[in-house]
Amino acid sequence: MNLASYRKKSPWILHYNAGGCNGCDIEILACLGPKYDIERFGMINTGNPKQSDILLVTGPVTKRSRERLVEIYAQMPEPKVVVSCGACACTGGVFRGMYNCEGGVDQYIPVDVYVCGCGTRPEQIIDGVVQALGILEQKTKAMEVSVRLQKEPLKEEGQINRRNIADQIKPALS
Amino acid sequence: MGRQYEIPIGAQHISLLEPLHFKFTTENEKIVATEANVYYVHRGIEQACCSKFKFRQVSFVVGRVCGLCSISHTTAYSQVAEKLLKIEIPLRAKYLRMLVIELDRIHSHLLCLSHVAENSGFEALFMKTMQYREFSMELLEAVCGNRIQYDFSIVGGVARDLKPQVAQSILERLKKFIPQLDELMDIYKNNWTLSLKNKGAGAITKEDAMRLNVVGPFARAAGLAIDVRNETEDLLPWKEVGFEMITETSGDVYARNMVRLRELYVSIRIIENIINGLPESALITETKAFPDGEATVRLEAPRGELFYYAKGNKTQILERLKIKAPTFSNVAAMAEAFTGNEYGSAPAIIASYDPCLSCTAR
Amino acid sequence: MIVHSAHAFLGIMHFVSLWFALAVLLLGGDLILVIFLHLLSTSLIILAGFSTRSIFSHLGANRTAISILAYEPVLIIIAVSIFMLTGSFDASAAFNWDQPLLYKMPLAFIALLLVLPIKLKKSPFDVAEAHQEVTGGVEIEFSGIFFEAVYTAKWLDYVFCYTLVFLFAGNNILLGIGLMVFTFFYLNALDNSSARVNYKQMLRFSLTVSFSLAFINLLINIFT
Repeated sequence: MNLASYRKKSPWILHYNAGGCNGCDIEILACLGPKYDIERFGMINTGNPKQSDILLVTGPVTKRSRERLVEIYAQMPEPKVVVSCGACACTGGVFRGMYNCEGGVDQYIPVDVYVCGCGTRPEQIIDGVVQALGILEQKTKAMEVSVRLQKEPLKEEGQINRRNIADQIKPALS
Repeated sequence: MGRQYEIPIGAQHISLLEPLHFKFTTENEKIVATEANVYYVHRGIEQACCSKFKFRQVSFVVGRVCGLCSISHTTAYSQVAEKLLKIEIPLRAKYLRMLVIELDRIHSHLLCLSHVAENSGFEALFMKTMQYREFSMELLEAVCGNRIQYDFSIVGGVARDLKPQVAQSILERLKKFIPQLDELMDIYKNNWTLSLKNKGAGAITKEDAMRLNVVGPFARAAGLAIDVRNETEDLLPWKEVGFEMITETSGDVYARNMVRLRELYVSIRIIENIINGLPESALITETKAFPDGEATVRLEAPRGELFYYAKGNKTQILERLKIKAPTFSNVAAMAEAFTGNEYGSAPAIIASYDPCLSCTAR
Repeated sequence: MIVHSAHAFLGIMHFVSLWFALAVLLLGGDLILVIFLHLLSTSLIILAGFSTRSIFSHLGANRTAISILAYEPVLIIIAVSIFMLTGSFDASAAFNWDQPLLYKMPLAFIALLLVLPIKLKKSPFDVAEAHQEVTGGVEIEFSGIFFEAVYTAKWLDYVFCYTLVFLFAGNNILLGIGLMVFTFFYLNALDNSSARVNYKQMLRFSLTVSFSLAFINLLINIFT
């Protein structure tokens, strides 16, 4: 066991409203409240992109807020998962085609989980975030593989040895 | 004079729900100047309402202006469209609209209060208020079918009827809520550390409030008795169902909390009165007319006066729709009331304004 | 993942020096040394906070420095009181003293209870990391494994503070456990029933109430 395997026990959430109607944002707030209590999955709403694992985006990305969205995404450390909450974050929704916004978050940053609904229900948000946990775990493993591919062959006394490297990597991916 | 620091809050910050940007110039953490930048959320809804959507669809689009007071937007638009169509809506629809507006006010005010508590560093009170708020979301779901974005008002009336069992459950839940509200009132009023943080923070005088054109609980906390529910009677009969003006005098964060909490009692009374005397009638007035002429409507949203202007030209598509949201009136006063406060109270002050920027920027 | 190498290094050193402070305390070493090692570790995180360009990091570092001003005098006075009672600055002397220190210095214990929220960053005195104001303060620019070090240092601080509480029980282990349990419930109850005050109010409260309580206790210990 290493520290990375505990990552999915306490994913930290970053929430950004990219120009939505606040509807999904108050549902995210309701998720943090006692009734839906997302903290039982170890999630804390942190305001700091440098320390968070899951980015919750709401709203159709307006032209003003898209710079901030991309900047926040770039500041988050790998591995990171993006969850787009609400119809307008997924596709643009009712705002699609209005002159100041374009359709959805995935035009700017890669989105892993789409949560539909206008407004999104807290149960759906929890479901989406729990799915994001699985993706986070996969991404963590994929990162470990690339690290192993670099490091393992150099272990034996400076000589490059690629014997059985495939066997060692296989369990990490499964 | 100390060294001046510029502290930016936003567009993304833990204490903000939506993208807005404040730049505080501070001296030893005392705020000396504030710049506000609120137009991150501009989407172009007004233009789309006048080009892309037919006038009956617009009531669903303007609901998406703001998720917190969507019923106020849809109702105000429906009223302005009914004025253009020159129709009178059934009596039951009027009362049902008022019912949902007041339920929405309960959830919006409690959300604002919990946000003030969280930004003051009082997480337990945030949790408590959110817990007590859930009942209003459940009731709204029972009445309208959705937790947020109700789409309850449509042009000509309302979309759903209130079932007798739902009406009964509303009365029961409200009865249960009153002791919880008393408990919240006690904490917000008497907690010592919370009053250290809130009393005197973000204060604005009555004269300043008048000069800067402040509306809503922000103005009423400063002693300015502005409430559309007190002024208009033609569209929704507020006084008949027991509206009462609430004002405080000090104009600080504490006074705003008190105004919101006391307004909740008024809202509860209004809802009880509406349910007990709900008249029977049809829900919707059908018409085949097209909007024509110009009309304006004022409505008291949870944050203050909401103003709609519409102009029709006898086609399906409106010629012009103008929305003036309550926060738009408050922005000037919001930037001014920070001066002289500690930076530490700034997040609580922002939350106590209850800013709704998606309303402002549309 | 890191802002610059000095920043990350200072964060790690904060963690390491806190281990040293804790080790000296647990091994019964010099209390003054313990307090100054702890001060050193806090100074390192303050330097880390000032070494970046983020304004929130600067504010957090500034507030951490002010909170040192609030709790450090009380700790030093408590150490001096222990010296007056036991005749030695060693923590082991306090652990081995024949009766619990609590009976001789109850006011100092109350003063310690009043400054612990500052040190552990609990409401109402959590101005140093004030999540809604400065988003974590000094730790805002840390990320990845370096943030892990800074975050673990916070838990080490808990161990450190509860050991200080345990010190008041002397050789009576049951009383010590009782005091720790009491302190745990007290801290959580206080955290959940109060809002955050600003740093000026914190400094005023700490230097008037907590400091004078500890100082009166010191005078009593000297003259009796």
